[in-house]
Amino acid sequence: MPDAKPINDEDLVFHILNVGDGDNIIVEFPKDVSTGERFYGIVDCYDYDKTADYMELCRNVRPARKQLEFICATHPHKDHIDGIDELLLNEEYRPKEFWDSGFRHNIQRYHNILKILKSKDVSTIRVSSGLERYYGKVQVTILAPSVALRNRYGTYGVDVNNASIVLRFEHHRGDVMTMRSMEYLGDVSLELVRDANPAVAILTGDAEFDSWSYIVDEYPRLEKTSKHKPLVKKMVNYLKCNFVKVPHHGSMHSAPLDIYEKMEPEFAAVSARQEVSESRKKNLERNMFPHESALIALEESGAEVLTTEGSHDFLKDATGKRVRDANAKPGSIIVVVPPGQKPRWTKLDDEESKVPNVIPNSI
Amino acid sequence: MKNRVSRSESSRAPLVQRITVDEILAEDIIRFEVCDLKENVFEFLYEIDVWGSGRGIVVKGDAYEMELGIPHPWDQLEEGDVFLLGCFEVVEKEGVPGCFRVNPHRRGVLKIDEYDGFRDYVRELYSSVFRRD
Repeated sequence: MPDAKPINDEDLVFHILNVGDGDNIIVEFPKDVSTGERFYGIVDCYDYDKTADYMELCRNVRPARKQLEFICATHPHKDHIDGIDELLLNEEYRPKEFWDSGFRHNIQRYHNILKILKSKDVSTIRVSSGLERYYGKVQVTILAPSVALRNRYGTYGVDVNNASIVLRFEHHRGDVMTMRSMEYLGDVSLELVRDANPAVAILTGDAEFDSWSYIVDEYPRLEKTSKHKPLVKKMVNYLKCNFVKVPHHGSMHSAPLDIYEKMEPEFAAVSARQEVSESRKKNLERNMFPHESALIALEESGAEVLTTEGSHDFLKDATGKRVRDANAKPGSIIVVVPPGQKPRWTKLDDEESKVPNVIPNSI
Repeated sequence: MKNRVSRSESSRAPLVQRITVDEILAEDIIRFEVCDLKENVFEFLYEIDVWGSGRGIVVKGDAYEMELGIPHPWDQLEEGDVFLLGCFEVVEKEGVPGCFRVNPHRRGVLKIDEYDGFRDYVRELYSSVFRRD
């Protein structure tokens, strides 16, 4: 990575916490112009103590308000929601909104979250594809679950992972609502301007093949060819992004190569702790998180990769060649997305049950 | 749902556990959630607040029966299956469980997620979050 640059007030920052075999992401939004404060959203929380301590450290570096803008439980598996009930019970953190996938899982932890949401009267939204939220220059678009999948949770065997909420963050140069209200600027389609905007990040929960099949249907990549005129005027690829949090800890069911080819990510983060699986039926033994197939797909896409456990870190050297970092250690991952610009990233050195010594203000 | 609560709160090992199949990670690996019945609860049904915090346990297929003591076939487990395990008896009411009562002299396993009462409880819990009266 080139020399570190300071994190500016306008930058969007993702913190992918190292919590072992779980997902735990803090989204640090740019400074709110009206209040002069940054604010946080939480996308999954496996470890409450680490999340709370980390936010406290972060606030010391870049002041932010305590009340969370939202908590998004991408889906109700334990490794994604274990710390959410305590966040909800803490009055200082209690979010303005809770985003739920709508999948009714039977674990006690999820039922407990529902009870707290009810008793504390937290505004709860059953999220599905197409929902948009705007935070200053940041647009959050929900790519999944598709309404088609959501409407058959209880009947035709949609599993919990495929109910995952997939979020797309686009950090615009200008005010996003103003951009949305204008279709053209002179002769230039604003969709074309948006398409050229590199500041896009996608957080994927544990979405698997069924979910991705609906995402590519609802958010297709429309291409021009040299022989044919495009069928539509707006050329949009909503999946193109610079940063992706790899789905389902990089398992063999996470996302096929085709998805990464549409995304073309420069950087991918995997939150995982390795587990070895032995299939007697197939006489196979393999690493699960991340699985070889996910690593190959990421290699094909050319993305740099960091894992929270440090098992499969690949970075580009000065010549642009992708090289495995043999000395990689576990740690939380920070991704900085300036408005309308490419992101930059780094990894801290914290063990899974500890907070980092320092939260950097330059990356 | 009202719980019968003991006046003495003497500590004891959990007599009953609620075990839920959380995630089937692979053919040979499943993560379960295990909750202990709170010490001062002696009668309960499907309500969630009688249980202590759930802890996740990742179990391999060959150690499954020994570690958890559930006789349900491994390859027929599905995410969302809920089992009661331990010292309890079922007090029936009109052919279905009216309540579960702690009984140190009985030991059993019961899959409860398919009972209408359980489903109604979950449905009501979920709906109440979104209902605006």
